[in-house]
Amino acid sequence: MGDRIGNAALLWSATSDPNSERVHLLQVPLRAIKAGHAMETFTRESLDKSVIERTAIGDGAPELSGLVRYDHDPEGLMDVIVAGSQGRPLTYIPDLTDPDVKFTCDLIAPLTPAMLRLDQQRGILGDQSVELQLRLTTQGPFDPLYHGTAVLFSYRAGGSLEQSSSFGRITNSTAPATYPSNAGGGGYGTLITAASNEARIAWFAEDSSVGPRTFPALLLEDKSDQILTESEDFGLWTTGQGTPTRSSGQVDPYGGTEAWLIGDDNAAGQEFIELDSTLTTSAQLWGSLFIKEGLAPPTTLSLMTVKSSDGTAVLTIEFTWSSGEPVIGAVVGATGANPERWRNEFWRIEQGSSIAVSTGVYTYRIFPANVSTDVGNLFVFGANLEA
Amino acid sequence: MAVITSSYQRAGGAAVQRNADVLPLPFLARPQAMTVYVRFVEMGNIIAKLGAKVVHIGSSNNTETPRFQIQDNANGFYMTRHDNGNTQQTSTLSTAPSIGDIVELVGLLNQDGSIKIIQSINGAAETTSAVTAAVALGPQWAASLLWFNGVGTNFIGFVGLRELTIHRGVQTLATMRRLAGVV
Repeated sequence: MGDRIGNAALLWSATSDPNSERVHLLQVPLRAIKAGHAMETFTRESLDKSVIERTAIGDGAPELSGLVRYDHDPEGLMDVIVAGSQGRPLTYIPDLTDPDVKFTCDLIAPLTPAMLRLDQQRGILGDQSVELQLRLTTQGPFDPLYHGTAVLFSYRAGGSLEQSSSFGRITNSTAPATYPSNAGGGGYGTLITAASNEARIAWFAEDSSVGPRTFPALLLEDKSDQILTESEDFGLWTTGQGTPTRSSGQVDPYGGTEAWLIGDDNAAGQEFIELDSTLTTSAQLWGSLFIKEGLAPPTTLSLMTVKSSDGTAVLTIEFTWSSGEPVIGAVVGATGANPERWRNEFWRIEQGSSIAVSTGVYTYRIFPANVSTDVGNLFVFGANLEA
Repeated sequence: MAVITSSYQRAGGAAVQRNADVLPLPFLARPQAMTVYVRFVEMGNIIAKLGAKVVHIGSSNNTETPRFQIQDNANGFYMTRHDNGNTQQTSTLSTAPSIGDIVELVGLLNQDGSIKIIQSINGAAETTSAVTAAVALGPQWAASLLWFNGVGTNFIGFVGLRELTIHRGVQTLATMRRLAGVV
């Protein structure tokens, strides 16, 4: 008989067995692997089918089924099934050259009484086969086994992270973490606040596209200090010069109405709002702002800038509008990402200082119309200054 | 220190600080010939230049070895590193992505412990680093852990991770794309 030398095994042990350990060598790793899941659910439907009530008990457990093939030790294979039927954990090792990669399972099916079947290819030679349905004793997922025995690890954004028991990121009002969802607003990015210790599945658009956002990615970031004390209520910002108009309650990237319309209505001088921040440790600064073309945009340009206490602009970004899309003009400092489209026609712009700046007070200014003889307005939301 | 603009943080009356994302996963396979494929949205590692670990196999302490890493080289390029505890080898790419690019990196660990890295940006033709000298594979990693985007709470970067697949043996980019299900 042309033996196929497998490199996989099923192991178990029993105090009643004279062996220290029982081993059933498999001719090949489990084949035709299929993913499954078991969970107790209860469903009640209204007669007109308009309402479905469903209750589930816990989160259930992933399961896996795989075929034992070409087996010519049917008694040993039946012992596997008997041990599983007796509640003994079975350890499946798909590659004996790497025995730390193993899966300790409960046998779900078949339980005795059971019958092996003749292998579909080599049954005529006496080889036997059986489909085993397994569940990890930890009730965790079988990844990467679903992908094949040669796959050591596999993750796709949005997939299960149950293998990790220690994903961490504390989120609260003093440590906020947000991400773009594709829910609502045409899929251009609805701003969502993540829960504490919740991995953020963010949605992105291809680099060549402004959206909608078509694919998910697991958003992983280093910590960040945001030193602006007021990021959304521009009514609490100081009038830097003139009497800029401010109107709250505008639609925003959350899908709410936290944005503002700020305007310069003085054709004889600049008008702008500003907010001071204190930098206590020397750092590179990165400013960002959500902007949207105003109802009456300036004919020239708008501006976001951050100045040091001696009046030096450490970062500046000028912009105009073209069909609702910002066009970046002159900049001062380090350039980051291109403007990113968000819900409700907002765009997030960003600019950094060229180098780490010294400690002190830095003033974040927003000019709806930067040229003194120009007027115009601009929707703004979500100013950040990261240090 | 801010090294790049990151996700929005709401502040209402006081400065705020977002905490870092930390994600270790069990990785039980021993050091062996293998291929690590990762596809992600470039979000600033290349500008931040922190030596951020996109993928790290080993313990939560970066100095503990053996380890295998795909990281930025703190000078604007991605590289791979294999350190068996006595000797380390690194292999660095010579082209860099821009923020917003879709980056595919393939870290190859050969049976003799030599390494190289392959990169494709936005699906374009691949570029490859030079293969290093051989260095014997260690008996086990410093710890049976796989880290995304950092080592413990250090060397944390900025990525939007789309896929990460690790396969036994030395595979091509085309093969890893198929295995990861991206083509």
